[in-house]
Amino acid sequence: MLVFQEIAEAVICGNAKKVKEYAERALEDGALPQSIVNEGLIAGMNVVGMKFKNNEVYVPEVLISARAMHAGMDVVKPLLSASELQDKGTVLIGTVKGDLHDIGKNLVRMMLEGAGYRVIDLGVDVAPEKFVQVVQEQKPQVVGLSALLTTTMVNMRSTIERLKSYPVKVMIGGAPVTQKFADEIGADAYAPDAASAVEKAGQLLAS
Amino acid sequence: MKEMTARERVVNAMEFKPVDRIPLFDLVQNIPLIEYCTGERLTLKNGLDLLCKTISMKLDATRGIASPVEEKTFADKDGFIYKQEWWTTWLVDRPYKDVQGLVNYIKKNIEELEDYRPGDIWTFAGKANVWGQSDKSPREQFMELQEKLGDTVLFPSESPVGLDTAWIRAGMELFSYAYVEDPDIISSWLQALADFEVRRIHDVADVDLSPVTLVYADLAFKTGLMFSPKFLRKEFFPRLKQLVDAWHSHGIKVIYHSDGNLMEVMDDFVAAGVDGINPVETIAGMDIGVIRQRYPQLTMMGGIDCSQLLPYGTEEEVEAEVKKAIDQGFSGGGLLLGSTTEIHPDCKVENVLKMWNVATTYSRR
Ligand code: B12
Repeated sequence: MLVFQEIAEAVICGNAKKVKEYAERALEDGALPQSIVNEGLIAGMNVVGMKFKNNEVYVPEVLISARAMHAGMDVVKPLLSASELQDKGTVLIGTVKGDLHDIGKNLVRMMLEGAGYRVIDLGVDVAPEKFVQVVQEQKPQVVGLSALLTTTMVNMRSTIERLKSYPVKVMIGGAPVTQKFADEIGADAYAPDAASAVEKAGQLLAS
Repeated sequence: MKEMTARERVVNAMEFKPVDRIPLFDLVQNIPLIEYCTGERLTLKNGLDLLCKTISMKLDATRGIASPVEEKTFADKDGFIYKQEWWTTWLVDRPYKDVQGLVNYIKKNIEELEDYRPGDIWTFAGKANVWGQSDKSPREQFMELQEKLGDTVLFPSESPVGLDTAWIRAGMELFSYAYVEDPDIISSWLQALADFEVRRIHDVADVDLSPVTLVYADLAFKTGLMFSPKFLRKEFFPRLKQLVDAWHSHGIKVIYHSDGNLMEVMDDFVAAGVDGINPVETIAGMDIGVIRQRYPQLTMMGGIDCSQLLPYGTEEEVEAEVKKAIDQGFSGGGLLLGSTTEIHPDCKVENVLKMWNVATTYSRR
C-alpha cells in the first residue's frame, strides 16, 4: 500500500503531524493496525537506524523521527490487542548505578520501540536490585544495560551476576564498553550503536 | 638542552619550537593519586591544596581546578535541580517539560545573558561569578590558584561556545524538538551565549597570566558527531570562530575540547583557527598518527585512553601507548600528553605514574 510508504517517509523526515494524518487515513482505508506498525512505522525507524549507524543522520534527527513514530503509535496502539503488543518481546533497559548519562540509552530504547519491541525503561542510576525486581515482575526476555563511565561499568558486572539465575539475556553498551569487556563479564551481547542493538536484541530473542 | 619552565615547554611545544621534553597536561580527579603524590590524606578541607601540590609537582599544564564539594542536591533561582558530588555537578531536573516551557525559559535567559557584568561566567549551573563562589575578582582568584600551582600553566576559566550549555540545559530531546519548531529562538540563544562569552573573554584575557586557553562544547561521541555537519556549520563554527578570534586578539592560544570522534569536521576546526584539540579520544576513533599527518601544525592535548587503558591496562600497555603517541604525534612539538579528558577515580595510580615517567624519559631521547 502506498500509504505505508508515506508513513515510513514521514517517520524518516520526523514529521509527526504527517505520520498521524497518514496513519489515520490508512485506518479509514481499512489497513490493519499491525501493518501500519510493521510496514510504516517500523520500516521508517529501521531506515533511520541504518542512517544513524552510517553517520547520515545525527542524534537530533533520530529523536525527531522517534517522536514522529510515537505519534503514529498513539493512533494505532488502542487498536492493537495485548498479544500483538507483546508479540516481538519485551526489553528492560536502564543506565547502571552511579551513571546519569541517558542520551544513548534513550536512543537504544527508541530504536527498539521503533522495531516493535515493548520496552520498559528504568531511567538512570539503576541499582542491580532494581533490575532484578523488575525482571521478576515483568519477565522481559532481554535486559539492556548502558554505562558511559569506567567507574560505573563495574556495576554491569554485578547486575549480570545477580541476573544469572533468571531466564533473561543481557546486552550491554555505552562509550567505554567493548566486546572484550562484554565477554569478560559474561554479557550475552554487546552493541556499539542503537541500530546494532536492535539487531542484537533480535538475535538474542531468536536464540 | 637545559631544563625549561613549564610555561616555556607548553608554549614552545604549541609553536613546534624545541623543547627539553614533552609537556604533560591533565585534569586530576583521583584521590589515591593525590594522596600517593603528597603523602597526605585528602579531606574536603585540604582537597584544593593537595590537588594543586600534586599538579605542581607532576604537570606542565592543567585546567578546571576546583575544590571538591560535599554531596548535595540544590535548586537554582529558575528551578533547575542539580546534584553535586566531589568534582561533578549534574542537572537532575528542569523547570520545563515541553517546547513552549523551554522557549519561555530561553527568552528570559537571553535577557539575562545580555546583562553581562565583569566577573560573570556562564557555568553548567547557570550564570555565576568566576569559579562560582568567591567575591574576589577573576584576576585575584586566578593568582591565588596560580600561587598554589607554582610553575604549572593554568588554563583560565574555560570558555564555552554555548552549544553544549544549551543542549544540556534544554535536554537533548527538547533541544531537538525546539530546533525543528522554532529554529530562530535556538539560534538566538546560541548567539547570546557566544556573545556573552566574548564579552567575558575581553574582561579576563591576559597573556601574562596564561598563554593558552580551552574553548569547549561537547558535540561528539563514540561513533561520530552528535549533530550534523550542516547544523554545526550554521549554528556552531561561526560562533567558535568569534571566541577564537577574541582570545587570539589577546595573544592567547586556543585548544578546543570536545570528547568523541570529531574527524568529520576536523577541517572546520582548523578553519576556525584553533591551535589545538583535546582530548583526542582514542577509544572513539581519534587517531594521533592520522591527525598529525593531516594537520601538521595542530597541537594535540591528551591522547592516552582513560576509559580502558589507564583503569584496566597493564603498565606495559601504558608504556607502549605512550611511546606510540610520542612517536606518532610529537614531531618536536604539537603534543601535550595526558589522559583523554581526566584522571578519574578508576585510573590506576601505577598506570598514571607510568604514563608520566615514560613520557618524560622517552621524549627526552
Ligand atoms: C554528553 C555527555 C555528558 C552529559 C550527559 C547528559 C545526558 N543527559 O546524558 C553530562 C555533561 C551531564 C556528562 C557528565 C559527566 N560525564 Co560525560 N560525556 C558526555 C559525552 C560527551 C557524550 C555522551 C553521549 O550522550 N553520547 C551520545 C549517545 C548517542 O552516545 P552513547 O551514549 O555512546 O550511546 C550509543 C552507544 O554507546 C550505544 N549504547 C549506549 N547505551 C547502550 C545500551 C545498550 C544496551 C546497547 C546495546 C547500546 C548502547 O548506542 C548509543 C546510540 O548509538 C561523552 C563522550 C563520549 N565519548 O561518549 C562524555 C563521557 C561519557 N563523560 C565522561 C565523564 C567523565 C563525565 C563526568 C564524570 C564528568 C565530570 N567530571 O563531571 C560526568 C558524570 C556524571 C555521572 N555520574 O554520570 C567521560 C567518561 C570517561 C570514562 N570512561 O569514565 C566521557 C567518555 C568523556 C571523556 N572523554 O572523558 N557527560
